[in-house]
Amino acid sequence: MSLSTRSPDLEVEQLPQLLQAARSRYLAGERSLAVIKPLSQALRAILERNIDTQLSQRGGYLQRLVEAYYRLFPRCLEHLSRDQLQQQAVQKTVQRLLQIPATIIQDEYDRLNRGQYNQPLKQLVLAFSRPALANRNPSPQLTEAECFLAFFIQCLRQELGATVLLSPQFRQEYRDLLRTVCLGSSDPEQCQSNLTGWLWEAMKSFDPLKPFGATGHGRPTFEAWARTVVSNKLADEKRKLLKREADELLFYDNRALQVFQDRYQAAPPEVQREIDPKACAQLITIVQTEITDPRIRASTARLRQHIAQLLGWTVEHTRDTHQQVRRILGRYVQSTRSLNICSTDGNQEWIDNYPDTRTLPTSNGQGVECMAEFLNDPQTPTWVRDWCERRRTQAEIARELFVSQPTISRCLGREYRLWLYRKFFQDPQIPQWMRRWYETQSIPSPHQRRQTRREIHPDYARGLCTAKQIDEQIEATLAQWCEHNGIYYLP
Amino acid sequence: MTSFLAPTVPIRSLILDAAHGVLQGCRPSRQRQVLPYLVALYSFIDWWENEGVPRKQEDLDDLPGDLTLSTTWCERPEALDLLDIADLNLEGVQLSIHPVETGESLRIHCPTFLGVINADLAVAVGLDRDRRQAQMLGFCDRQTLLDYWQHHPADAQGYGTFPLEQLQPIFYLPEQISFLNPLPQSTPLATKGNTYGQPLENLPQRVLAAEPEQLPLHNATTIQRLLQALQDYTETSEISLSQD
Repeated sequence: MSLSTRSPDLEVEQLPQLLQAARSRYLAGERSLAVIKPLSQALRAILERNIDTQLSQRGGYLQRLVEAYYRLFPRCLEHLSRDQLQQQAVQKTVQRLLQIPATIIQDEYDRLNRGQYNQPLKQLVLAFSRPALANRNPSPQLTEAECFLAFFIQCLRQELGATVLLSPQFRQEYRDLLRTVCLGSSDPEQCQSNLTGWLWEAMKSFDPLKPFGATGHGRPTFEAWARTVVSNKLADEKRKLLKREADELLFYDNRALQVFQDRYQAAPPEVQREIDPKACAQLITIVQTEITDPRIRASTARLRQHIAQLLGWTVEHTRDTHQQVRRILGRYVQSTRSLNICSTDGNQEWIDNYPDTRTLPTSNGQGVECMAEFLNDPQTPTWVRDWCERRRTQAEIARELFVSQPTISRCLGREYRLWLYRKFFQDPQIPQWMRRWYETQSIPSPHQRRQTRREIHPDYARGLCTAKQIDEQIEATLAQWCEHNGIYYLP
Repeated sequence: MTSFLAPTVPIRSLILDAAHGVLQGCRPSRQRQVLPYLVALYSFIDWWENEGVPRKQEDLDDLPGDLTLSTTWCERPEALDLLDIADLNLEGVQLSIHPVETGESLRIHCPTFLGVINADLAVAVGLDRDRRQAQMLGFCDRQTLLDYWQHHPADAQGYGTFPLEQLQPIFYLPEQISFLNPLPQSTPLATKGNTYGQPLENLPQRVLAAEPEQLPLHNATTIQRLLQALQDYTETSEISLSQD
């Protein structure tokens, strides 16, 4: 390990130069492996260091990383030796980085150097370059070289993940997972064709060495992770579908103006306040009468440019107005067409990509202390607080969680609910069995889960009631408990 | 292999309408031949505007106002009467778009790619007519294609091939576009392509919204923000107690 502690490690510091050199040769049209050799050798030398002395017997970081993929996906990788996989992944990742524009790498640098952004990744990188500062919170500013190393590690994980995901064994072994996660979508077939791509993208932030629990990623935690990725992506897909449907109404239905006006009238005042009905009506009319060419309509950018030109608006204003039109027409689409788009989200009005967060009763102090308690709870992730205090942008947090920005409210809700249950079970008045029952959720095997539940609840064991009924009973107790204690209840 | 990573978009009636709109001006004998090119083109635009661009920027919700895309040849019926072609200029980068029907391989007409379009990148779009789906199979840069064709020369009609599994994932395309066109602020290369999406020089540029400054810790605001978000959101099955 490098002895330098405070000033960044020399080997790490030379990375940008090596990248620059390789890139110049690449841009000059050289495509041989010699182009990337110095850079990949340097990266391997760095990553092969042992940064965790407690685990010294298990070898350097790169070796442990590769090993973690083998342990998690043994059959998917059996056609490759560890050395092959390691070499191939490093090589491909370097090749890819040569083709990434400096501006994008620069954006990544800026992001990494913002306060709380992706602390685990920063700490990992510092462990290579400035071990003495690795555990400092907040982390010191990263140098350009350190940022590059961080970016490289993310892309390397993605490459290793891709090798797994694209193996035929993966599709075979995880067939059930792949099938069941798609069933919740409105178009399972389409979902299935997009699935691998979604997982592959998310692999960038998947760290097999830093799992959910202390024991490392096992198949159940990987599956839970995959389900989360997919459900977030499905929410995105629904949003897109709604946008498309709203546009189709705008293009093809001559009732669009009427529908818009009806829906606008019916909208709550908070929503109305954010809509400019005159501008919207102008936009609908001009699209329906003047912009009938489907070639223009087939591209949102073109469509907006034409609207702007015809109405003498700025593109920015056109964009805003178009979004407003989509928002109101979307409400209509959602309530009238059997799009099946609400099925998995229950009652949630998922058109929340158009922030409707103002339709709220004012909090008359009710539950406010509990919010502070929630925010201060050590088990509440730091991003929740960062979001509430606007310490980081929504986009940043969304990236970290690998969700779309609108989905953040869902994640918030989840964290809040987890906290509610923690608090609820701390109350000695709450029967012990409820807690034990609740905890059976985390038992991965359905068989074992049922078995444990039978031991917990005699009526369930005897088949007198279903698991769902017991869940509902606990949920109802939670709601009452919240009301009784003046804690804000979130269903 | 890359096709497992390839995202799909539905081939909607809007896409077909746009394609047929262009083809109306073509000879009937040509209409069927070039339809796949136009369907691939409009499906690609759909993907680009809904996924490609949002991927590149922080605001995942919508397109930036200054986005430009334009075509030179493929929306002109008189050009389609002569050539199988789909070209698209994105932010100054010239794309050549190639439909790939289910089970077929990627074939590129070299003179069109190199000469007429003078393309920087080739994009392959899989068309599944039965399922009315277009799949963004991936892309390849000019240099790599040229290297490949050196060893696998084009046939007598000028068609070269390229293995689908060697395409780069389409998810890298936004990065690649910025790589080839490193100055996003400069005016798009209007000389390269233009029919419909005429860059509108007179329109004011979009002013990028400044990122909100970090606010000092303010408990009331913080909690209000949280409350609003929570109240707005009724939780889904995701976190309710599991069911057997």
